[in-house]
Amino acid sequence: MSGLGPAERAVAADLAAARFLAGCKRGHWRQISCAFPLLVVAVAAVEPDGSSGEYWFKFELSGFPGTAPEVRIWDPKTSGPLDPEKRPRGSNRITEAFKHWGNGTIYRPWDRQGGTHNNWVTTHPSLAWNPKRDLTFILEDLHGLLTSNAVAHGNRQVA
Amino acid sequence: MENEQEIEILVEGEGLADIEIIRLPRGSAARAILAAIGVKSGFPAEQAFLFVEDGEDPVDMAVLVENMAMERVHHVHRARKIEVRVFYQGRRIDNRFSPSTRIQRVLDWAVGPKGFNIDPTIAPEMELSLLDQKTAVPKNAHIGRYVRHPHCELDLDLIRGVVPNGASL
Repeated sequence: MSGLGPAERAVAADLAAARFLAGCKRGHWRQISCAFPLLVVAVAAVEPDGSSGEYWFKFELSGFPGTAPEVRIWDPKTSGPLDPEKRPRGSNRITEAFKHWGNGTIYRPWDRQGGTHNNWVTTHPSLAWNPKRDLTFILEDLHGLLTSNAVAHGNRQVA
Repeated sequence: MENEQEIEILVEGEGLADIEIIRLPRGSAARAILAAIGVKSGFPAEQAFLFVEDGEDPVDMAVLVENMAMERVHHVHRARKIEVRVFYQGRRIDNRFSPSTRIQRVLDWAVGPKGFNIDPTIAPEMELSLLDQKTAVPKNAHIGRYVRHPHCELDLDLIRGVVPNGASL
């Protein structure tokens, strides 16, 4: 990794770490591309009807990890943010996280824009970004949100 | 990076704060994983068991690492089973799981019909925390991470997850 800047080195280290590789092995996410400062990762999902799906996310990682990632839900067909009509559906938790809002990023405290919004760094420290976090922290949160429909679906099947 | 002479195994275990990569020469028996984790965590390898993630029974120690389920994460622990108690609104449910069970599987059971039978509209917002903590534990963490032999019990709270929209539901 010689010749890389500190932010690029930090990203490369996260992508080679056991936590990230475990998510790949579990089928929770897969790396699509990485051309620093941009990273695209596809994250597995469970739709409200129980079917499997996948959503792409584009990370802008300038200044990482001192600066929080800026993350957008991405449409590879248009190379732009995913149309709000095509975004994940489910509980209030899901629709809030992936809604289209002013800054166009994921509406979570770990996002560069979200973290400065509504004093979330103070009110939601367990979800806020800090330089000790890694990319897998974000991917685990995204995967947890995107697959949370599975719980409801399982209950509905037996209800 | 893995090379032709060695195998990389992703392992969680008793005494480890997080998942780790263990590299072993091809031809090593599974018991070599126990030795590697035992050295890190400070217990004799012969007291430990090796599990596949979410698997119930220990792996045969004589199997060669290249013949193991390498696409799976493994777990090393001295306990064979962990007694899990989950608390919610003054009620408690109990079950036994292997140490390699992910928090996600415990959560699925806790919110499901054999657990607290949480309303399906609310169930996707539920999380598990360590007892009397308010922060959710990672869903992919193995429960054995939170238990140190000879203690074989884990107490968890079922909590409503945070929805950061300005309010915590």
